[in-house]
Amino acid sequence: MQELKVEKKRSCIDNVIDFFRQRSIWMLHYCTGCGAVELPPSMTSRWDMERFGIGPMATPRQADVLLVTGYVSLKTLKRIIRTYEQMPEPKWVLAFGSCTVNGGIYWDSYNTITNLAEYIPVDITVSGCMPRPEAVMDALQTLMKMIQSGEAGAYKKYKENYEYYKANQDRVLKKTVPILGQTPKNDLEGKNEDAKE
Amino acid sequence: MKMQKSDIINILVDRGYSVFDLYHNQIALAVKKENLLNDLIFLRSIGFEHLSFITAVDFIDEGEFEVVYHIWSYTHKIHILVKVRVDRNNPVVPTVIDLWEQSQFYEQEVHEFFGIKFEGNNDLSPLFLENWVDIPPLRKDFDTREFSIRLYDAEVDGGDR
Amino acid sequence: MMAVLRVFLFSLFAIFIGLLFMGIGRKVIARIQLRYGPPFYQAFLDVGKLFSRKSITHNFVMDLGMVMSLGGLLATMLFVPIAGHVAIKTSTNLIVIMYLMAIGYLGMAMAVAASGNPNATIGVSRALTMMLGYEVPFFTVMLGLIIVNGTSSLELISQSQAGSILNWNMIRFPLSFIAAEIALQAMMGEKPFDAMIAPAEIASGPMVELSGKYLGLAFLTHAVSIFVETAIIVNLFMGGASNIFTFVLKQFEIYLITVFIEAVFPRFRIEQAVKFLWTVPMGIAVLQLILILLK
Repeated sequence: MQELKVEKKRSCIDNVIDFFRQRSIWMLHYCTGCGAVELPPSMTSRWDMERFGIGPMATPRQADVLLVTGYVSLKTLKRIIRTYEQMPEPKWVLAFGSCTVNGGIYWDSYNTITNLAEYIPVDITVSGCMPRPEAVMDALQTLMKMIQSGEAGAYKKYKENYEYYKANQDRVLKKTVPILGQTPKNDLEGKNEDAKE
Repeated sequence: MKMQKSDIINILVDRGYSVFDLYHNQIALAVKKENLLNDLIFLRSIGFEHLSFITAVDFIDEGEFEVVYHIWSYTHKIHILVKVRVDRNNPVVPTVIDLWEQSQFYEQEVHEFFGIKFEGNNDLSPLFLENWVDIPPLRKDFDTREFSIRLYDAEVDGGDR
Repeated sequence: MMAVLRVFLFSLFAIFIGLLFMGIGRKVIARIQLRYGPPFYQAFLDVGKLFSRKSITHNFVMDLGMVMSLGGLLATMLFVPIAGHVAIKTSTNLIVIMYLMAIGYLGMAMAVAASGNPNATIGVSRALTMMLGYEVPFFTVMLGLIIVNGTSSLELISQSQAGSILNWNMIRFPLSFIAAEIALQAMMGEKPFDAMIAPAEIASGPMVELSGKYLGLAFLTHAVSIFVETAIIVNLFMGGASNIFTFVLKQFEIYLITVFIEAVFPRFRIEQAVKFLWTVPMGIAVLQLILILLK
């Protein structure tokens, strides 16, 4: 996978447009997993998120940022991919919690994925189980700085490396061969006999 | 009319069941598969009318599945667990969908995760797992850690990410 | 040539004041909820960001509908007198203004019906039902004022209130003012009458498929509608103004009343809203009409 090359020279128009984009980020009000319980404290009076211009919007067509909070099961992954592809550009993805980095406490479950960056491109990851609202605000501030300097271009990675992402998604979502080598008919004759080395 | 737990245990022992006293409001009952529906109808007639849950346990060393029905009574405030043992190689249990309609979902879930067939229930389609081609995942010979390492590239202790 | 320049300047002024009001409204709501709130120029930043995104369109009818809604509202604004100046110097007839305001809604309905999302269709049907609800008391109030003044020209109505503050229609006919305030809340689509937008229920109603530039046009339409509706109320009840600064200040007072009511109320269902609008404000307006006819 190629790395994204950051352009050194940025014209004045780019600076002005990025100033507008960084001061009014709209997040999609879609709460994926258990990490979504940290969003209401960040939006209400104590750690006010709206003073930076960040607010919740109802549909993916109107949103800039997709927040993937918490664990991602296979059913959710299908819907997240569809939502991500519905958002118009430029769009950013924030991965919350340890479950999107290396699986978290559900790393050995048969139904949850362990690394979100293999399926959709991720800009910023916030680790913690759950990250506190101060960490949430810090991540959003870093996202604003990255937008101003032009580094937040992960959506371009999705278009350039589409075969890589699609291969990963199909490997997980469309399984045709049993992974552990046991078919349901084989198992009824007692313990499994093959392919578990 | 509310009965005490000791009265209920006496009624059940008189009919010939093997009863275990677990907790101050919990009793366990072991029944045979052939008589299962009659036993549940009898329990329903003495006041145990709410089916809370149906689940299963995998005893792989003895070669049997054990299907457990959780039944609660509003009048006596007693919780009964009805346990049925079936053979592990060909697990078939009669369905209770005509007694309690909510058991449709519980039986679908048990079929999806253990592979137990409920005869009489003609809609045992999967609820949670999409595109699943392995053996039912809650059986004890399904190594879920190995599955996660192979399919999702999981690493023990988180790796270096 | 001068006419084109006047139209352009008036449109820019309306958009600027509308966006400023929206930003200050958000700050006021935040302060009521004990938070700091966004800066007062937030609406400009939102519109700037929206126009720089890529937008997804379905067909030609959606493009045409959004432009028609903004165009209809700007056309309405051209006939409303602002501190004595009018963009188009023909008669400033009140019936013409209310008729032209419907074009804004119809344009949005056309754009939204072309997008094909069932949420959008529900939102549009609710918006048109709400319009049916608030037009009835508002027209009764207008009828009362037209009978008193003997003319339906906004400029003459606002000039008849010149003199002292006791000459304002707000003091002379207070019941009409109350009925018009309640109808104004429904005209602007604010709580408790915002079943049209309803973000948590129908995923923001008509704006569900709009993205990028179309959403920017929808925001501008909302800003101009705030400007036009508060200008009509100021001309009808508070006597216009002699200079633009006082006029904008009076508009701001009316808008603040709307924001205060919005910050504390939940939402009516659509049938409850229409039933309420046809009984309570209508009853007050009819009472005022009877009082006017008896004099």
